[in-house]
Amino acid sequence: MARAGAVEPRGGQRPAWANKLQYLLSCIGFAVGLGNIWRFPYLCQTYGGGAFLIPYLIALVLEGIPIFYIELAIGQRLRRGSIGVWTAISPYLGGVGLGCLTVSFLVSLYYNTVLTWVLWYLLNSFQYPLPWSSCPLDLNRTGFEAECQASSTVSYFWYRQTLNITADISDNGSIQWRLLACLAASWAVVYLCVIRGIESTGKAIYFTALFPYLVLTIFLIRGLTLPGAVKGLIYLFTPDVQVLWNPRVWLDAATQIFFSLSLALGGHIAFASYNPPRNNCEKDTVTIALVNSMTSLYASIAVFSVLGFKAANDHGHCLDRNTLHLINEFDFPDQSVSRGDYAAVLAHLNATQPERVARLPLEACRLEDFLDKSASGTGLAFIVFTEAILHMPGAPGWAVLFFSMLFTLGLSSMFGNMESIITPLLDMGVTHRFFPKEALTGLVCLLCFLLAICFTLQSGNYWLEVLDSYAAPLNLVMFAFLEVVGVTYVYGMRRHGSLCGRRSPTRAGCRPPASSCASCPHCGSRLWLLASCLPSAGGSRTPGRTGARSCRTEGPAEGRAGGGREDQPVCHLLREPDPITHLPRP
Amino acid sequence: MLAYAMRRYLVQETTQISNVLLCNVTSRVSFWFVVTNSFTNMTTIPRNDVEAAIRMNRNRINNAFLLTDDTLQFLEISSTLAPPAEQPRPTWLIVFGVILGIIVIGIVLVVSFGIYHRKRYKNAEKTEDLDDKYEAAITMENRIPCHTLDLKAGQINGVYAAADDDRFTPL
Repeated sequence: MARAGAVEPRGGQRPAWANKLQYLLSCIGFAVGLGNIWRFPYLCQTYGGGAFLIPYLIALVLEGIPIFYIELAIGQRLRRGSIGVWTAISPYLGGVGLGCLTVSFLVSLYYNTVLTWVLWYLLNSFQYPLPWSSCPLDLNRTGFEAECQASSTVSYFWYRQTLNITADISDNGSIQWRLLACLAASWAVVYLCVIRGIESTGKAIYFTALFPYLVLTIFLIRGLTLPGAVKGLIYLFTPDVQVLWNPRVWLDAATQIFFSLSLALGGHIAFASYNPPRNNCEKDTVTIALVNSMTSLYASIAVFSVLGFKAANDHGHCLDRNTLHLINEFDFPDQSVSRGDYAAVLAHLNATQPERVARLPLEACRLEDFLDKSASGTGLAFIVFTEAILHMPGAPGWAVLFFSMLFTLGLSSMFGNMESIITPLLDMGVTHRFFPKEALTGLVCLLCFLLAICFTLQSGNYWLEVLDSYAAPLNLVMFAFLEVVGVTYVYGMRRHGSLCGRRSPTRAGCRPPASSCASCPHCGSRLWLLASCLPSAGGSRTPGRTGARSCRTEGPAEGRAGGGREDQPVCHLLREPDPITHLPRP
Repeated sequence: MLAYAMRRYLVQETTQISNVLLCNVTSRVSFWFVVTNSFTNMTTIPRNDVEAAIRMNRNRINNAFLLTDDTLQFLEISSTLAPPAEQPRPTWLIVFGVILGIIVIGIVLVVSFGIYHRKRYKNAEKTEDLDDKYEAAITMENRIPCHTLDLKAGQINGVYAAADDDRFTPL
């Protein structure tokens, strides 16, 4: 369909999704990322378990779905990446698109570094025993390394053998060549999948989007059968409604839904721009948002059951240590006091010989204390969960499954990040027509790889936290605000039919006047329409005129006076082609 | 057992069980002991030597009692820990090599397929252009050069020109 103003800058047709499922899986894969696994369960746990779902769902309905709808709709309607879309709505809003592009670039730098760490752990999972199960020995082999002894084996493996972290951000240290190799590998994987744009990601997404669900199910089944898991689940999901009085909870719920859906990065706009124009974007919005939230919930059940098992395990070890103290002190036979008897024996000893008991270094072993130990982010994945896996029978297999799930989750989010960078670049026509897309993608990936080398320094983790805390959050919220303002007031939300141009079945045969002049300044809102966009006799041609006449019975005439004037190129982009002749109406 | 340990360490065959003196024996099998020098029954062998002897033969002592380092404890003799299983070559490097190899082969295949596809497409375009030109040429000519038909005078038929003197045939 030839559309004036919608000519591809590189010539030829705009690429399109091979089928609807690829598009849905790409959006779901982009939205469902590492945050669903390691941020949502932490928030649930911190903010009163099941009670957190109330602010979360309210934020989903009031904030997440509307902004998500706006992004998908304008992307599908205007068929451009983030820069093109905002320039089409108003030339003054082009900066929003540029900002989205820049933030996507920064996010993809450090997001892939996290994938590098996941890849490193994945590569190290193919051995038994797992390398983080034991401390290395010290020099005279009579004990373990002091650093490892002071913390724990998993912490030592993470901070020393993976990151080799320095004490301070100002002390950069040297490049860790192991991490550099893994970084190169993960960028190579991303390049291989994004090499031809949605043609190649569309094929890769079948695996990367569906595999995590398979692994989550396996972990769920396994987790629920572990001892202590159900107790953990009950404790962590028991709602504490009092927590809702804390305004921090609502803020964190809104923040979580915002970043969970990956809004304001421009990736959804890019994906939707490859859609056919008549796609039902409302249904897609609700579907994808609900799938994202359900995934968070599903993942948190699996994660909590494993964490409950870990807490029960740690509690048991705590009891064992205390029992050993008691046995040594009171000369009981070895293994004569089981975990269940411990409480009774301690009470008896406290009653009979309290001074001797008081001298012992007994720890307070309460299961709730272990359950309350929560972690989010890399701490959950690389420290808490890896330790939990150590105690599961068949540990290397579980480690491989877990880290490959994390890797595919992150990879599908990276597809969205890369598309939000590459699609606007292609639409802007920064490269010559005959410059192959593969080369452009390769250049972008190479540039990102070279810049991300700074995260493989010994102080890389600190730099990543700086970027994570300051590069993305505030900027994305600002861009989302500008998006909402831009679409609502500049583009005009009040229009018949849907924002994405989908024809509603009740108006079949009636050309929705919404097709024309949307961002012409004096026709931007309904008030203006009623006042000045009444069909004028003669004068400027109104593209919606024929449509308005046939739709008059349905509402006030919304013929756009002056909407189709040739000197307003912006309107050209928004006109619908005549369905019969497939040419834009004059 | 302890006597045996001392024998092995000191390379003296003379230490006997009677040289090991026990005291403070409790019902939970813990005791203090000293080892006397077999030659002079009064002096005791210094602590360091005893410690070294036990360290050397720890495994044997444990096995005799079917106990481990955790359950048979010699106070202030820390056990020499077994080194963790050292792989002959780093496993992760092998897996890494495999994965990277697959990725590089994949990239090379995709890129070369793209180049090949583009070349074929360009060739197909070129042949189409030639056909068009040829068509245009034929259309232009239509077996008669069009530019010759543009003469206002048209084609002059020589037959009629020659018959100018008797234009009108008598009836």
